Amino acid sequence: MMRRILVVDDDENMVRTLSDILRLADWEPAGARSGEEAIALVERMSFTAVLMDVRMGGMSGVDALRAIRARRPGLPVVLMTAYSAQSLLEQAEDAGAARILAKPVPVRPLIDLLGRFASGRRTLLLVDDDPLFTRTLSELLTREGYEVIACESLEAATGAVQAHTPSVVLLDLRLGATDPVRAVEVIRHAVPGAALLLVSGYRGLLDETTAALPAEWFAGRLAKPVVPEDLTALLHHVLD
Amino acid sequence: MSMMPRWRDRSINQRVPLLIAIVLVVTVAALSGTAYARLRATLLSAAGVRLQLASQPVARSLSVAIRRQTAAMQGMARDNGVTAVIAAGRATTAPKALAPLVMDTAAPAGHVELRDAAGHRVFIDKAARSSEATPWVDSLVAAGRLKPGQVVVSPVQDVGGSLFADMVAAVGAPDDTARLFGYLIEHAPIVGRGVGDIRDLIGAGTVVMIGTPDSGVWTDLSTAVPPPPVAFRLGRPTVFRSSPRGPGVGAATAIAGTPWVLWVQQPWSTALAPMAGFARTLASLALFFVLAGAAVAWWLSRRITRPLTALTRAAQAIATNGVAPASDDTGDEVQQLSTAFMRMEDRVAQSHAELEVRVEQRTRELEDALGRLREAQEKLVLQERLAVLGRLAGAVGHELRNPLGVMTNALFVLEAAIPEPPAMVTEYLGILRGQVGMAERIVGDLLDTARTRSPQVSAVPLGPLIETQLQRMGPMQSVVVQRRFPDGIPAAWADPAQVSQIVLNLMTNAVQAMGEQGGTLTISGRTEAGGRVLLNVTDTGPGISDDLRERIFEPLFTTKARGLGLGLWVSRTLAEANGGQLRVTSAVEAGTTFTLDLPAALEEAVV
Repeated sequence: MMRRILVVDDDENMVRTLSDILRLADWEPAGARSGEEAIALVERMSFTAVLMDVRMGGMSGVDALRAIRARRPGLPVVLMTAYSAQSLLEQAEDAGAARILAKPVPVRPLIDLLGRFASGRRTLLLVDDDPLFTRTLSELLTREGYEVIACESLEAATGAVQAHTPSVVLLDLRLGATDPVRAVEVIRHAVPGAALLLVSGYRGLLDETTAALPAEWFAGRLAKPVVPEDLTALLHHVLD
Repeated sequence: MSMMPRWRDRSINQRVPLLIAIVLVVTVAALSGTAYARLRATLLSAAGVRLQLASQPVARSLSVAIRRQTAAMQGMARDNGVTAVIAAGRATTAPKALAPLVMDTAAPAGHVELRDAAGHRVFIDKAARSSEATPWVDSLVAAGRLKPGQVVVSPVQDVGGSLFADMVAAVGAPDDTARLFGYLIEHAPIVGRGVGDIRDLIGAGTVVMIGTPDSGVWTDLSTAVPPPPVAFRLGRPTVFRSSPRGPGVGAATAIAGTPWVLWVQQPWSTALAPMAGFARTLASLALFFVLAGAAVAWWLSRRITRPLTALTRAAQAIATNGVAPASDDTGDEVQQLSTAFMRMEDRVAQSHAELEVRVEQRTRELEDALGRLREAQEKLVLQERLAVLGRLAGAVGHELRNPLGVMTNALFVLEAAIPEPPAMVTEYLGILRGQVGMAERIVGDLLDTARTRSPQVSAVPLGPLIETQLQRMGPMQSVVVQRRFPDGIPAAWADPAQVSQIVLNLMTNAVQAMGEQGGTLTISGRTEAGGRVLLNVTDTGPGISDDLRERIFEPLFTTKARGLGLGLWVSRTLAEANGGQLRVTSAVEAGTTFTLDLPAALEEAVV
């Protein structure tokens, strides 16, 4: 399985040592010395994950994160920080960092984490209380080679992600009595870094919700009934 | 009850004018008395002298008249007709020679006589008057001592209520003029003539009299009058006090050729008339002076007392600090001022003393405040320095983290990449790894201390926290860990991460203190009254001496060869930031116990 990882840090030695460690862990590392370089590489090649330092000269890690997430919503980006102000970390969370690790980053946990992201590459989390929709969509996606985790509620979803790290979440905006924006927040907190696709049969609700949210919070929207070709195309776009 | 104030205590306004008035009165009285007396004496004596002088011409004229008469009588005594009558032994008509005398018989009384040597009357010019008594003549004739040519004047006589004077001339015999032959006698009444003129000349009230002191018979030439009231001396004026007519001045002049004396006297009122007004003038002037003097004295004393009173009041005000003027009015103005002044002096001295005490007090307070200020300043400077150091430490720490991270990664790669390393390689990789780890720990400690977050409090169960930290410390050789937590001990109400930091620091210190020998690390907890929970970390190490026991909490203080010495300082700071305390009990060779005192969570106990 392709496990390409992009290591971004303005410290050359850090990039070198990290790359060597990752290579030993069966990753195929590529290095970038700045945010701009990272964005260019992400556009050209496909990666399974990105490992990036928050503080770099020039473009900051958070800005680079935003740019990468805009282009590749399903690409998990792990940030490393020596010590950053609370506001910066909050910004990183908002921008959709998959994880924020404190330096010095212990090697083993890092490799485990990245492994989880890799394995969850083709795992989708489907949160919808309509069982029929869930069944049909799950079948469709499984045929496409994705692993689907279906949950009928937010609670179930938050419980499910303890064991899995999906790279995409399909969230229905009408979950019981839950406010859609609240639902989005919960999912973002539970599955940071995953690409969030908003699904709804109610066009108005879909429009409203997408209008109420920052653009970087979600990667796409789907109106029910879902056209399979649209979904697979979207998934391709998000994940590859 | 007020007693009559003593003289000394009376107001100056009363005393001075009074004294001055008295002095003036006395002086003026004395002076004017003396002046008056002297003036009066002078006037009286002048009056006396005047009288004397005035009497002299009168006496002289009288004397001259008498002498002429005497001379005439002498001549008549030598006349033949007169001797013939005497020789005849009788006559009825007066000899021609006696005509001048006889003519005087126009007077109501008096006569002329001729007597013989035996004293028998030979002739009398007025037979009707032959009974007129002549006692003096009789006695004189009886004595028979007269010599021819001698004429004698009798004193003034009072004969039967009328005043007479006799003139007797001794007649000599025709053949022997030295032989007494007979007498020629004129017995004449004394008739005043011109006395009134004299009187009026001399002055009002003047009394003029003629008399003979021996006979005691006096006349003012019209009637008999009482004799002069005083023993007098001829030729000198006499001032006398008591007389029927009151006090007067008199002068006596002898009338030559007679035994008579002319007495002129004047009452004092006449003599002192010139100064009649004087006494009044003097009295009113004296009174005026006394009153004026008293008035001036009073005004002067007022001028003195007014400022005195004002000064007194001011002094009293100062003395009583303006509260109320002391009403101590004993004594006069000067006394009051003196008293008030002394009281003011006392007050000033007292104020002075009070001021000194207060100044001393203030000085001490200021010194204290200055000391405290200096302490605070030093503390502030220290804090500033520590803050800067903290920031520096933070920056350095963060900078160090990058190369340390790279080193750790590099070591990992080395260890993983070399399949069967030689023993020395393994050993040295181990050394490197150890050192890098140590460096990271130091940096970690440094960054932990440099960073002070505000506590995010929650309920912190102490048991699990301690276990977690013990695990972080790793295996400890030769250290036995004992836990003593009673049931029901509440959780602490504090920031969990910070409490963990404190606990880890305390336990690490305890283990390090026990060194290679090891010992027993006891961790115990208990509740305390007032909603507090205590956590004790005890070691069996060498203990801390008294002088070091407080110093260990100072920043950058350490007895270890390694380490920054910030651990306990940070622990105490964190404890206090969480509303708690960090204390130590220790003694040399008796181990050490650190006590972390934290507020207890109010919920049910969770250990």
